[in-house]
Amino acid sequence: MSNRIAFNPQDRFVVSIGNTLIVTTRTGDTFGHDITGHTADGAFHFTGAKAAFNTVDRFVTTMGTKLIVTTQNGDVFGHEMAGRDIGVPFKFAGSKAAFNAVDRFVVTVGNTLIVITQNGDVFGHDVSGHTIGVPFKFDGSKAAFNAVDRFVVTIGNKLIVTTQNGDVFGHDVSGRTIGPPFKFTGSRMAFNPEDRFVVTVGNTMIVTTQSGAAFGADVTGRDIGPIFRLNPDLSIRLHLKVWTNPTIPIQTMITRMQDVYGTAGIGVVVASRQDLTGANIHTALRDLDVVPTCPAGQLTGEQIQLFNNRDNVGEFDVVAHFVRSTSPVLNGCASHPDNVFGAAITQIASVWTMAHEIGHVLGLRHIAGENTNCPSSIPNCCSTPNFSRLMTGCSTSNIVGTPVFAQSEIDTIRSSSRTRPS
Amino acid sequence: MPVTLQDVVRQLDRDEPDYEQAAQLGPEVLAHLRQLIQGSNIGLAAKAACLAGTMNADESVPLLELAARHPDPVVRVAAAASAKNLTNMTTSLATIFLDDVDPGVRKWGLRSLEVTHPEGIETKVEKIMNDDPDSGLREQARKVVERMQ
Repeated sequence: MSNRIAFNPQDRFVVSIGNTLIVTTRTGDTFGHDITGHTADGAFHFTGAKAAFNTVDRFVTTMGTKLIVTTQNGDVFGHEMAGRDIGVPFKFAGSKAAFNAVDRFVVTVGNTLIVITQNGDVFGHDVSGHTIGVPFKFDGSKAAFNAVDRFVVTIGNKLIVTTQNGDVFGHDVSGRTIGPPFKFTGSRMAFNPEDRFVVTVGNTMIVTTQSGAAFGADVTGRDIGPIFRLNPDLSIRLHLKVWTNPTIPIQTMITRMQDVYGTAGIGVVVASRQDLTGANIHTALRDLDVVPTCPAGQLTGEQIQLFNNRDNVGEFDVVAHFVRSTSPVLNGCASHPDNVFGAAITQIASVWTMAHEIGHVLGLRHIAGENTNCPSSIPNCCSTPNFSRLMTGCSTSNIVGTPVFAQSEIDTIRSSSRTRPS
Repeated sequence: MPVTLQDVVRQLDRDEPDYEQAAQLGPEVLAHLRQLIQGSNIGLAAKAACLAGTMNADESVPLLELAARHPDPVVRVAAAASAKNLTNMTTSLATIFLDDVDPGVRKWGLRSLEVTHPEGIETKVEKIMNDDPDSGLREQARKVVERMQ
């Protein structure tokens, strides 16, 4: 099924339980997308009861494994969610909730249902089992009362408010007190007019759009990380051929590659993995002879021999050969034959080396501006390195956080023949 | 200006070092290479060994001998591979490479002998040609022996 998310006009509410993003529709049919790392799987249809399809249903939120639906008259209904099944609806006992016309946002923190009004007052109901506690008013700051405040979500004990211009503000919730507002650093979120829903899965804030594209950013403390595409429209089919396991686990390199390529709307799909660590042939290739500095299209006999191990590698695929070392000693080398696109990655590779070398394979060069006022004998002296960029020529080992692509780089890799529609 | 350890690391820590360019830092680099070869960062140790061979200086041989005895085969392979740049390859250094338990080190040790071969190494090469468990290395050694003759 499509991995576009919540793009149908009848999609009404988007929430999450665990790593599953849940889309409810006006007909009561409910769909899910499992989120793995920074990737959304295709949609699945929940079995069981229909949910949140009545016209009087006003807010939907989740608490643990419960889907909670509040109605215009304050009645609160719930469904227990079990895997991909929705339990029969039940009505919560106790207080009514969120029935005032001025109630604007409903979220949960722990076992507390939180109602935020248009003037910024914040009320809570402790939820115990299938009972809604009596309402209480939070002390402290008002929240989300500005006209430009657009979405409210929570991560842990933080209330997160996104505004129309993408600024993101937070309040720490402590007991029955709303902390003072603070502004998140980092990326702006959910400021495009076509942004439709905002939801959180774990520490990731997710924005879905009218077209079904979904974008995410990891929230760390009071910082919003780089934005990545959760359901890429393009992808790279990557084949892994493991002659030697690198020091950094391959899966970690793949995850990092998915992180950074996701910011360009490109998914990374592992099409095959071939374990050659025990092969008693071609042992020589594990310590690979390469042309120094790996100029494009220039290969040693050993490099040609390495890439001749194609097996399942298709015409538009990319292959990563994990060798033990190269001579001269490199973290990786992106030289490849004309008919097989790929790179060699060595045991000493950094966590970003594979993503960097595949960047070369897709047509990227090292970034400019890192060699200011270098002596003529050392033209690439790395006097002004930029470790926020994947294609730094001055060591991906020093990259902190998730590096970024420039728009021109994104244009280049998205137009590569190796990136194909997902 | 003196060449600092940081200058050397800046050249070697990149994903694709340019060793010819790094060698332009000059002979002051060699003292820093010793420190890197003895350090805990395997990648930098291997790259330092590679640069030591590339520089082909008098001090390169003892640096490669140091790297050739490193516990990590990645460093030893780097030493053996860069030894092909030496014009003063010694029998003792070549022997260390050819006696190594790791086939990658022996491979690159043999490869370095394709360029220059010190006196007295023929016996070691013939032993690999006859006895090495790796058939590829036996064949490679045979070619080296032919070239020596």
